[in-house]
Amino acid sequence: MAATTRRDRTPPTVGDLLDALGVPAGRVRLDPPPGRATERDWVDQHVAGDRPCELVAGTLVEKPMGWREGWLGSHIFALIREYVVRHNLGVMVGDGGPYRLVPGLIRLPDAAFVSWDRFPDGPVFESPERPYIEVAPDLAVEVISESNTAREMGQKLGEYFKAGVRLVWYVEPDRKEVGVYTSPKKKATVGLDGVLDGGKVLPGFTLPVAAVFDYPARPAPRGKKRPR
Amino acid sequence: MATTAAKSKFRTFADALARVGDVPAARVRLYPAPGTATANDLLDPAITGGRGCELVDGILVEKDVGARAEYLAYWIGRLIGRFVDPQNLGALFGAQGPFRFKLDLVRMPDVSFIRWDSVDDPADLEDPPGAFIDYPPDLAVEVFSPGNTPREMAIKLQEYARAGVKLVWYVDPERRDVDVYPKGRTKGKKTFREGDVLDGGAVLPGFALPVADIFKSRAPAKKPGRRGRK
Repeated sequence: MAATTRRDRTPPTVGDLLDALGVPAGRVRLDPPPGRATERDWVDQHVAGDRPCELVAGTLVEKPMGWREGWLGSHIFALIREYVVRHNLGVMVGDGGPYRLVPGLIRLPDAAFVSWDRFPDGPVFESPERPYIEVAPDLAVEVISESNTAREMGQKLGEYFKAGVRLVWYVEPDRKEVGVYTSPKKKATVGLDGVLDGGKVLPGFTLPVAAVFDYPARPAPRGKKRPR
Repeated sequence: MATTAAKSKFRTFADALARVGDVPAARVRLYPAPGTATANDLLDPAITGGRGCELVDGILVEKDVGARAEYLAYWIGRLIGRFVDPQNLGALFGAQGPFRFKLDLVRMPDVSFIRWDSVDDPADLEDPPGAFIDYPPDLAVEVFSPGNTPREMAIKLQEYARAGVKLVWYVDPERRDVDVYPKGRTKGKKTFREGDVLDGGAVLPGFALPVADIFKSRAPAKKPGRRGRK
């Protein structure tokens, strides 16, 4: 490939980095310089910054935000959380929970479940040392936004499973379906007529995809025309 | 190379790319981070890869190269030279002539010309004390190549105007015309097409160049009996 030979000889360009990350330029932060950002920088930006960021390849990458995606994320969080709490299986956290998957890699899934097994001494809720935990979740849920590219999400998938995540759900709002992964390559697509299964991660848990996309509707107005 | 990383003035890559007219990201160097590069980085082949780069607001941008544009630029340079040299009017520079307008702004017009009498010490032009020419060119010529974006060229024009360039020619090989901007201002823009004769204003008084001479093919007819190369 001509592009590869050219790249071998010339210093890396912004295009190379954007290709590797699979992220639009508007979501890649320039300070600290790309490639040089550390976990410390991530914490600083997390505390003082204006937007949630992930730390990937020494680079701060903004998480896309969307109202619909926000609703879907918190809705699916609530649906899973109910089951997790009822059976006391572990901890369920929404999109504010950062996970340091490996050194230099911090991801912010939209919702994640961590089983008790992953915390030998239990999670630290009283005065935690850091804003992230150095534990990979058992289940990670991502609601796909417009600016998420296939490359970005494919890379994220690889990272999740490498770090020990056992189940990943990619919620696709436009197609109203959920991609279910039990490994980076093992994918099942579950549509509106299908049912998500907690498998070994959440034994006994089932969630119809229709319930995921069950958008709230305003009640019909009470008026004279309404038949009693 | 600096060890302490300077803080970029741009928040995201999109902001930096917008500053250079949304050129393809593959033309923007990743290191030093856009917004933090200095003129000295232009002199380091490990950073530029030995390719012609400009420095715009601390962003290293590779000049778009194209054989057609390069051929035309060198030809235009020779046409100007034919007029300039007999009178010894000034110094002509090719596409690697780096003009430093500001500490973090270095541009390399495809062809540029400075009159000897425009500078305090003409020797500074023949053998500049540093790696850069710290005077603005009197005439800057840019030949469009396919990778140039209109926004990129508009931004460049503004910089030429601010730096004090007296005359700017934008040569468009596709449209076969030349846009002339006195003092780099869009207000005085005039388009010279084939059939028109380009003049040199106060920079090159008496200069007259038919636009057709720039674009007309000078390649002789193919030799008979030889196979054309693919």
